[in-house]
Amino acid sequence: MHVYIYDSYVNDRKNQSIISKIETRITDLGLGGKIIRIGMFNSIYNAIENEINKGAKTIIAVGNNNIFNQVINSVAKFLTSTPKKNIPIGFIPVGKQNNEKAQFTGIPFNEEACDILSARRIDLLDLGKINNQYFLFEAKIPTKGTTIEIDKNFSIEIDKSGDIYIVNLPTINMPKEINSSAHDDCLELLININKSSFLLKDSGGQSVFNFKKLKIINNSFPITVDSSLKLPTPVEIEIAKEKINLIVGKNRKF
Amino acid sequence: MFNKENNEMSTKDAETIIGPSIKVKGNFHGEGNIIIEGIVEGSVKTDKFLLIGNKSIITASIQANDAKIGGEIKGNIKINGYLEITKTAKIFGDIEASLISIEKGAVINGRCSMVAGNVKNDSIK
Repeated sequence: MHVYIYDSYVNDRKNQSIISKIETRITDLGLGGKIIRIGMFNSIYNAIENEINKGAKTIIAVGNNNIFNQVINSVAKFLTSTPKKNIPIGFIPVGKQNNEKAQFTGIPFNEEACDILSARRIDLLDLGKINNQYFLFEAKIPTKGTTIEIDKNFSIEIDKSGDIYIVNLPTINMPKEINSSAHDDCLELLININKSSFLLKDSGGQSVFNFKKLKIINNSFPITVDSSLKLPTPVEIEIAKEKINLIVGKNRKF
Repeated sequence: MFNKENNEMSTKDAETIIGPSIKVKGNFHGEGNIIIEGIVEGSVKTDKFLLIGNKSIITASIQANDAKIGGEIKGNIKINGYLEITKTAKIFGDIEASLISIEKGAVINGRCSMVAGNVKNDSIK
């Protein structure tokens, strides 16, 4: 059975036409299943745990980056206690707002995403773990005020403005020398220094480090996970033991 | 022999890049190719290729399989295979390598020992 987890915003009137088309397409493709609408008082984890134990074959997030991240987290947390029940995760992005991650997995917007579910092309992907949260793509924090400690062996100091990314599945441009993917059992630390618009000689630059465990501290800014969740620091980041089975499109960028 | 083409090939697949605005403090040990364009204080060690750019400043002991050095280094250098020192390099420390080339203009203050492909040779004291 397919279980569809609807984010609360998809119930808005402006999304009704999109949802109707999605549900029609799901029926046409024979992918019908149970719909769970997430509200303020629903626990996504409890709902997913319950449905997997009842025999769900696929868990499908319907919404944006936020619900996608929450479904990934719930399935990954479930895997910690029941590693053999690695249920595939699907995604139907509703609307383009806050949904830029979908294109990297080759999933088109709205009802066209149903065809990807139907093709059921499954890819086993690594996850990053930041404190107790999982992420598929990356975590991001500004360089300003950030201290990084890697594997307790060395620390990194950055005196210029830019952004720090902890990358699992790259959605940003990496240096051409670096082969980063969600199939390599490791995360990369990427530091992008901003180019100065006034000093042409200052070309910015990128730095990349491989690591097993990393600690980030910033007293001013939170770290943003998969463009959806903001966590206060300090945080510890490592590759997760759990991996997810994600239904991806043939146009995926990895 | 380690020529320019080989050098470029080695850095196509880097594990670590320390960019020009970055300072690393501590023991930095890698297993793949490393490119350093910034500042490092402590020690640097890799089983593969190490490229130290023209503007980098290293205050650290260095160990690598092969290396190309163009920056400033204060510390001892131990290279298992081939070491290429370019004209922009300033080295203040002892050097040990199996094969070495030094371009005109490089500054070296320290002992230089050639060993037969064995980093365990303790000829430098």
